[in-house]
Amino acid sequence: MQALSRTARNAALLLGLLMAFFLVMSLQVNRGSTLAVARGTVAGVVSPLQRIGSAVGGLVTSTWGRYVWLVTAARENEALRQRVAELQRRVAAGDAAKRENSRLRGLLGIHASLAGEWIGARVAGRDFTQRYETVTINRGSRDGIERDAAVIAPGGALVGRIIQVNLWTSTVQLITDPLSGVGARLADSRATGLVSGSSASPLRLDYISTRAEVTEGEAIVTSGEDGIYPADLMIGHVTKIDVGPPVPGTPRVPLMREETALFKVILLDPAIDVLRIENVLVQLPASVPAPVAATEEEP
Amino acid sequence: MTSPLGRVSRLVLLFLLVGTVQTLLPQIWMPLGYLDGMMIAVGLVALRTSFAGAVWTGALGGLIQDSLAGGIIGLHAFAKTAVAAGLALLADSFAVRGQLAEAVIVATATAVEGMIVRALLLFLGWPGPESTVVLITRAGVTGLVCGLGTVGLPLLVASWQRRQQRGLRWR
Repeated sequence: MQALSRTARNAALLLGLLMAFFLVMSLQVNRGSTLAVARGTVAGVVSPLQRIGSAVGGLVTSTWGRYVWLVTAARENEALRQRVAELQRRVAAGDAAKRENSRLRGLLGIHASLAGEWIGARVAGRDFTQRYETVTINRGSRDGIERDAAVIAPGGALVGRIIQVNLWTSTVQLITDPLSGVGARLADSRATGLVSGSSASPLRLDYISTRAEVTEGEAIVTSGEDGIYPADLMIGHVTKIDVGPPVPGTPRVPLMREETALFKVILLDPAIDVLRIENVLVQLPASVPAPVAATEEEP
Repeated sequence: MTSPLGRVSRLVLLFLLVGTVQTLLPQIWMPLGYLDGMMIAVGLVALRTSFAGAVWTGALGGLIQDSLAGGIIGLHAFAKTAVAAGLALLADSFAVRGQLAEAVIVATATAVEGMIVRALLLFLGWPGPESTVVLITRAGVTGLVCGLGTVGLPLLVASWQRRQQRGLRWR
């Protein structure tokens, strides 16, 4: 009798916990809640450890890297000298284009895309489940970072956006995450669409009309229309163009004629390998000077 | 004997440490991201404790993993609780002896947990469930590391102790 009661208690415990977890998951999916308190508590405990670990890890890998790279440094040096000469020529051409661009932007009243303040950060951790495409950076609310801030690579390519801010660290949702969405524009044809992560390719561009002229290798930049990312940040290049289903995200209809399709499906190659990035720049809110001391995230 | 609160505190500390180390491992070498250290910790504890203890261990480890991962809270908690309960039943019904057997069980548990997570993601309509190759790779790497840890570490310690004893005798 006692054994039966223990078995029943164990079964009730297991079922109760499983049902509770399922309920919590369903609530998040339906309401978009992220249980910020639970996340913030764990992140608050772990983030100082992550910062220390990241600093030690960085020191070890950089020391090892310097030792290994020393062997090939001379050969690379020669190649880089040639590259510098080539780049100097390009810079001269680029300066002329920049002057012209600046003049034209002034005429059109368009502001520079990288206007505002940016703060440098180091990637301190990655999502170890590898089920979400997120990274943790070593800057948090005390550095003035806020939720939804744009994150870019030092070269200016788009990396993602801040989805969670803690005191010492922040979580970045990479643009390759299937749940992310970036308002994008084709650099040449100026058609706008939505870039998101994809299981078939690192990135895909949806909602581009079948009438739009798209060429392989064409650059894709942010449109700035989503209210999160500044305009004209580099996202990637077109690698494959296909005719999409009648509604993006739904299965393609068999034997569908190309003329009946409304949108194209465009696969992209990201401008940078976001999973291997080590240093990033995070956009600061216009009112917050960089870096600022102890400003807490609003609940 | 430690109090239940002391045991829970130690478990929380262990899981936080494992979670922190795991967020740093992929930075050193990307394939290390396939290692599910939390599953090793949950699995080894679940095989050595009561059914209720195993269930709470799975729930705790999964919740900490969810909090660190940045996705849906409850996803890994659900999967790890179910897997830990299965492991406790297994340990209760069969004699699980030897570190190698434990490593194989943990590897299988990792694959089962991956399948549960995949089923939940599909059920909830979230995009991007991982491929079978990733699932098998994660199970393989986790089992291998668990095996190397549970078999290799005691061997290393024994070898070190033997050397110490010999050193004492030589003196």
